[in-house]
Amino acid sequence: MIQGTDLSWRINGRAILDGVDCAVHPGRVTVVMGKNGAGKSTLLNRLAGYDAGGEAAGAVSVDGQRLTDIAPKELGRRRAVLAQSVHLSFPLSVAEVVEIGSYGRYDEMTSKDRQQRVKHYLELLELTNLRQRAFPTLSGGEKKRVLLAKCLLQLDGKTPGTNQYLLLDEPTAALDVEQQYRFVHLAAALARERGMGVFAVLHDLNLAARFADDLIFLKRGKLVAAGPKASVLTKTIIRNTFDVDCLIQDHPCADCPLITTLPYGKSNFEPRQSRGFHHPAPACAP
Amino acid sequence: MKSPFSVPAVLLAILVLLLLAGAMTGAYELSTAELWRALTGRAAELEHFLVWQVRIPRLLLAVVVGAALAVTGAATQGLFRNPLAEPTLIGVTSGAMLFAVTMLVLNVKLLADFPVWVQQVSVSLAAFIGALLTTGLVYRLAAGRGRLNVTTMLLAGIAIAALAGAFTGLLVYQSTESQLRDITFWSLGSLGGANWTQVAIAAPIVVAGGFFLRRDALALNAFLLGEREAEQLGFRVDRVKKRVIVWVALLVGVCISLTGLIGFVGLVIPHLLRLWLGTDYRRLLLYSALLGASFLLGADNLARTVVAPAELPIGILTALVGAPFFMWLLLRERRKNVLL
Repeated sequence: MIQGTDLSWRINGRAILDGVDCAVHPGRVTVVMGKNGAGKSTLLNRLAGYDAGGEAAGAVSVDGQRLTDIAPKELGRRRAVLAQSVHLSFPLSVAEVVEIGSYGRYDEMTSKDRQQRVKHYLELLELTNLRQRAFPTLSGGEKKRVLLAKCLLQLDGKTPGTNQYLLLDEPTAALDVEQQYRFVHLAAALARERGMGVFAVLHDLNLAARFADDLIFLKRGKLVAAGPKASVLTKTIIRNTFDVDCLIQDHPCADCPLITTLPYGKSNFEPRQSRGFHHPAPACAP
Repeated sequence: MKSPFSVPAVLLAILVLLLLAGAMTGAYELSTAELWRALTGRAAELEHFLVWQVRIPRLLLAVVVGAALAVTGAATQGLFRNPLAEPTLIGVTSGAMLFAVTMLVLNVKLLADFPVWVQQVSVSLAAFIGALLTTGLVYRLAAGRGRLNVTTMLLAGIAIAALAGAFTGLLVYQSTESQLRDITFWSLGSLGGANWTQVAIAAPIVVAGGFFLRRDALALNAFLLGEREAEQLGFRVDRVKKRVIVWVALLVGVCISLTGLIGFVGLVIPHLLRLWLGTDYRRLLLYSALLGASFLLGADNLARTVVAPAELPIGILTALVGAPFFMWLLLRERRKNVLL
């Protein structure tokens, strides 16, 4: 478990993050939500162990060990961070970018092993056709997949007795509807199948409602609520976090809630007669 | 895509050919047979002296300096994540220039009674110290609270370079005609005075620098994705930056102090190789060393032959080739940015 205790971060006296407690459990998907500037990425950076300057307070522990006591190289094997965006200073090919994920264990692998693992993760993320392409020429969704492949290669070798964590900073930004769904679905599958702890910053309430196990709500750097989805995904907490009212229903075809935010100024939901925007019976694909 | 010859073999072959050509050509031409006799110690005294005491040290110095300038150029571009970066940007060059010019102007008063070689060594030493001092100053300006910001360092480098340039200008303004001529020649660079002592000083530093920079090749690759990426992979980013800057300052400092200012090698060579073979620093540093050595060797061969028996300052030739390339690079970047 990655545990953050009383995390704060101030810059020029202004609190970006203010006394937040949170936890990321192995095998579960934890999603952090909040308005722009609520401190979501800052929280992720603190949990990742980045030294961002400013005044940082509070402690982060990884599986009971103080984060600052873990050697950088070892930390790189226990958690990988998917950055919000990456700008290459000089063009690299897709395969070269993915290979960088193996650098933490460079001396332990032969060049052949390394190429083989790169190939494996390119296949896993359906990138084999793009392997020679220059990274900057890819679309937003393809770039995200390449970076995820790099992160997975980084977590390829596990130190016995430790858990692994994947921290995703707005992984769905700039992705189309289908790609968003696929990306989060894949992250959730990694949590279930490999026991990874996944921590993601998301903006889409319904993606969170569908794939998260635990939710963290932030507002102006402070914790609004945190806990298992069933207990914190409520109208009140969403209103307190986003200043928006919503309707929470059962999802018509998935085992999760469906959230509809209400138009501005409306504080209650009055069902109105169908005006034919949707089919009478929702057709649900599996 | 696969070529039957490996890239290092091709680069090495070019280097060897240029070495042979360099040993044979010059104000005094040697045939292959004469060169062979001189190399095996069976030539007349004049030819033996020419080959062993003049040509070979000069060729070796060109190899060492060319390799050092290209490798440090590649490393600086990686560190600053900027295709237009050069060791000049961290203050090495401007500091060396200021100190060397100071020495050239003061020599007359301070060291007038000493032999010429003392005066020459004093200029080299001053340039070396100047290179390290200014880099140190730029580093201190940019390293706030123990963390080095490379953008700040770039800007600090520019500010310090301007300041050093102003002081240099003042000195130039004060100098006599003959000092002015010395200053001009120094700032255009030359391998003219090459001797074994210089090779013996430069070679170990450059070889050590190349070795240690190569050890940071993986970190430099990770830097391509950004400092954060390198940090999260487990590289100790601040230590890498410090190491690279120290080695760049040492290597460039020692080269400038021995040969004067030689521009554009550090900029042109790494870019040429990137276009040809990609950016991977595990290969780029070695190839840069080989091609940089060849480039400077070729330029020096030209410098010695085009106006023989006189010599062109080598900085003129590297700039003649380097500047148009640089412009082409700028145009290419501009075109790319329009498309994005």
